[in-house]
Amino acid sequence: MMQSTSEILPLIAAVFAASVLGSMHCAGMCGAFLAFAVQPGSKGSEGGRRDALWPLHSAYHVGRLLTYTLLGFAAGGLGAAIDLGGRAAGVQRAALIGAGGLMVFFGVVAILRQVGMRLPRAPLPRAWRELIGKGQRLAFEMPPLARAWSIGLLTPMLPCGWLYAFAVLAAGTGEPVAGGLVMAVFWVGTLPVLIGLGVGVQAMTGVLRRHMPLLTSLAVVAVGLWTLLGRAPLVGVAQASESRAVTAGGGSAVLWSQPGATCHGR
Amino acid sequence: MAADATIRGVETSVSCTHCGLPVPKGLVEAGSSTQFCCHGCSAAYEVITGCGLDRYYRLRDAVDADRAAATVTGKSYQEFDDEVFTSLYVRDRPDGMAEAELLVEAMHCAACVWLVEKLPQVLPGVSSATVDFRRSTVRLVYNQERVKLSGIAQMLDGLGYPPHPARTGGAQQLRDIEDRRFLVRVGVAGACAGNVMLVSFALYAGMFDKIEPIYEHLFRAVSWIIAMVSLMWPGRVFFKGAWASLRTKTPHLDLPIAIALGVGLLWGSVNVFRGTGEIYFDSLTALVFFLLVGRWVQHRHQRASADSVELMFSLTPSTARRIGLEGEASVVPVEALVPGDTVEVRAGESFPADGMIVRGSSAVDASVLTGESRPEDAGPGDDVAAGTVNLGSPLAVRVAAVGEQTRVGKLMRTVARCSAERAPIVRAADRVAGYFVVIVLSVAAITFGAWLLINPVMAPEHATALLIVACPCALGLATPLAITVAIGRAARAGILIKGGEALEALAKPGLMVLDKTGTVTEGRVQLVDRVGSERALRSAAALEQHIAHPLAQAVYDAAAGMTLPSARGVEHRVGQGVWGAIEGERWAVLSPAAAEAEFGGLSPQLLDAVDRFASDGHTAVVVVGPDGPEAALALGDAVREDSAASIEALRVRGWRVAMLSGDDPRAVRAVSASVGIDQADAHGGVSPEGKAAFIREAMADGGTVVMVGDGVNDAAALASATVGVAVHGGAEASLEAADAYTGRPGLEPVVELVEGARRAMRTIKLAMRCSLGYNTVGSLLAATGLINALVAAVLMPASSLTVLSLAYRSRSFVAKRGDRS
Repeated sequence: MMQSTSEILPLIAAVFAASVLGSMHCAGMCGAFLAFAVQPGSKGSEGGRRDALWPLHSAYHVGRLLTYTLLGFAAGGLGAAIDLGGRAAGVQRAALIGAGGLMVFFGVVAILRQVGMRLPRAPLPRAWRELIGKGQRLAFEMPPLARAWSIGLLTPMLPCGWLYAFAVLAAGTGEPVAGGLVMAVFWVGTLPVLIGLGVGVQAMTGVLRRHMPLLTSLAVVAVGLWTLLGRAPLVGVAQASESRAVTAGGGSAVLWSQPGATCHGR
Repeated sequence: MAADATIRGVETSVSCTHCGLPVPKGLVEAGSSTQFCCHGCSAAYEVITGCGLDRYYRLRDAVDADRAAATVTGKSYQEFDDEVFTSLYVRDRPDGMAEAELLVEAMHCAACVWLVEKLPQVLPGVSSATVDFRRSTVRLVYNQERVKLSGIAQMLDGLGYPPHPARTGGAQQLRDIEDRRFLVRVGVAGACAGNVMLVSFALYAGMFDKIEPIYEHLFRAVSWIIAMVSLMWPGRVFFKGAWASLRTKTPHLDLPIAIALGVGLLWGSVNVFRGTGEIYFDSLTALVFFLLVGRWVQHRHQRASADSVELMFSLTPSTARRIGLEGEASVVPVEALVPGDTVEVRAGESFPADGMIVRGSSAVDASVLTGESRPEDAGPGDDVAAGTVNLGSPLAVRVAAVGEQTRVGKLMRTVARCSAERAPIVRAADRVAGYFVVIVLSVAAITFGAWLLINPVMAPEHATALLIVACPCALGLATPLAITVAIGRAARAGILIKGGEALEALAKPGLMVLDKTGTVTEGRVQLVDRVGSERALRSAAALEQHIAHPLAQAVYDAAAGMTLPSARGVEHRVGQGVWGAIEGERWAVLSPAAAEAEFGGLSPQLLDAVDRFASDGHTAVVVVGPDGPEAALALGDAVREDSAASIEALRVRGWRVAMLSGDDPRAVRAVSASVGIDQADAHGGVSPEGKAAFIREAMADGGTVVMVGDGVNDAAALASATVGVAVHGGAEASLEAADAYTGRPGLEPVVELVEGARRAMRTIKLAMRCSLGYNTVGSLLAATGLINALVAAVLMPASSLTVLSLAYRSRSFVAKRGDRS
């Protein structure tokens, strides 16, 4: 099912805002990789000329964009499959509900950890860890441009919770193209901080820095909740003429569309 | 890392070993040497250490374990803890911490920034380290009871980034606060615009799908509140600017902008309460955001060029080695020096103050003050000036003047005064703004009147729409962007321009005044003409190679590549010449007067040559062989190869070219004739004050006057002119005074500068025309009532995008990669 513009625009805006907000995390985690990626010359030589850096920056970021979008596309496909299965079982927009629920869960777990609660943690599969190491090692040996490009391509392999929260959201769209779009927009949101790494990241964040993990967790919960509740009425408003039932919103959808004859959501 | 976490104890949380963000309490692993905030970071850490690229971590650990051994320059930085130093550079913060800014060398990539900003994790007591990459500075906030500034400095040094005090402490801090406020305003404006846009999406969607009236009211009220925030906080600058423009009765672009914003907000508010009519808040907030971004970009760029000059000043010495009563040396900040102190200046260091040499002899490079790169010999009793460089061996200097009392300090004050007295350049956009206000207000009044007759209810609606559509957003964006692009391109071509005003002024031809020495000429003495045999030149060079005098060196240099015979018994008499024996024959290089006295007259051919050399402003010497006078050599400052062509190129572009020099009038006339400058426009024997006066007189006529020069003697004139251009190799004083600086020698870059400025202004005018055209069309649509909020919301960013692409398309300057020095 194709989503309408009025449904996709707020989604894009929300993903972008959350991505910009949380991109400090990306700076911390990927900063080192970015630094290695944009190091001119071969490994170990001193990087002097600054104007030779932009091709490397571009290669790194375009590499990231490619795999992010692919990841989103795949996640969207998975969501579509879940939707299909859900419809067969009589549940509308199962992917959306699943994604929202999963995000709220992730976010709440993260918040609980912030306040000091010890929760069991799923270990990362050994094979995955080895694969990451192998891939990056290969990339580090390459000539500069190829190295930047490969390091960028390999970025989504890092088991980053923040990135995967968005992948889950992409799956929630239940549509490969929309999923790819979500991840592409996420990528755009990470650009300012990652490109700005050379110009004093701390100055941009200031006080925010200490509270960053809490803020990002809250953002995940908020986007999750909004996926579950907020988007339903907008679907209702925009697609008033369609008689497609929207059950995803549950009680909240009732609240939003109460007096309306316009909403066929019930 | 865990070790830090325990040292730093309760005041901060545990930081992630990889990314440095706090580790959630629920994930802290007691007793582990590594701590991670997430799977991602732990995997990243594994990759980096696994690939042997763990130098970030290793460097930190090594420095932490053995701080003393890690120093690179071997400096102890004890002067950083000196009381005077502390009072100058360290600021107490209200929270009890101390704040200092240090200039850091060798920071050249993102990885360096990354490393330096990790300082708080390496050094207990440092709570933040913020890098400004462009200025190569780091701002430190630290606890003075737990760590000394010298300790932090040693650490930076150990990491390979030797620190210096940032000289501009106070002023810099003020500017940083101002910068941050500006950035906050841009951020707030952006957030407001984004949110109003989101709400507007809902409203526009509602236009097609019949939104519930209650939600429509809600959304309109929400966007009204956000718009109020945007216009009252970040948008306030435009109202302030407009008010100032009204009070001083000078047109300024802020005036039409403020009118559009004000009227839009007023009528929008009325419509929110009436519950009907357009509100335009999305356009208004976007307007504020775009305009602020434009200004920010321009602000940063101008700052960057000004700072690169400032940085050079920052690198003149901040400390001095003072010799105490018992002969012991201690390092003190220059501000602690008083006249009468004795300081030691080692080879390669610059003098911290004006003074007199009391011990030692060496060579001094005074190019900072004179632009003359030939070192001068100096010994006990000679005066030295602050900022010049000791090249040879250590000197002891008795301080005579410090700080503002030094020659450099006084000169800077003169330059500052000249800059302050100069009339500001009225910018093109502001000139347009005056007419703009009148026209737009008249058209709005006509629209209002006409609609009052047709349909009174719609009159305020259409008049407001017109004012908003006619807001010169693109106009306000076009100038800063085009100028910024041009300044950036110029920098890549090796030309530094300090501000957009200079570009605007350079685009309009007027009078171009050139300094002679070092600008039109090479700026050093060399052999420029010769009458006589090459054998005579070889012999002369053989004699002169033993003499350390600029003229002697010039003769020796001219014979470079020839095989010189050996000379014996060389004898030098000051003011007369040099005698010696070459292959058993007696040779001499003499002044014409000495030669005539010794040989009772020269041959008519040589006499002619000597006269001609003198009238050309050159110094003539006569080479005397065993058979009497054999050759005459002319020594002088040669005209640069490109000078004549460049001056012609300037003239073709409409400039009148004049020459101004402190040199002998005859020499000035000779040079001006050879490069094609009118004799009436060539002035010699002019003092530095005379140069400034000449420029001020020329400016009284009202035209553009550009001064091109390189030395300290030009600084006042550079500061007085409409635009001062300092050429490559110039003294720092001239850089400070100038509006533009060319990084390549000769006049060719000046031609490029003028041509680039012309092209940049053409782009600006094109962008202005486009924006005015857009405004005209928009105004017509609004006046006739054909425009609605949606059309306006689409038209506005579209016009801004047009202007943006126009600005970036412009090819004002072409980068010269090959010959950048």
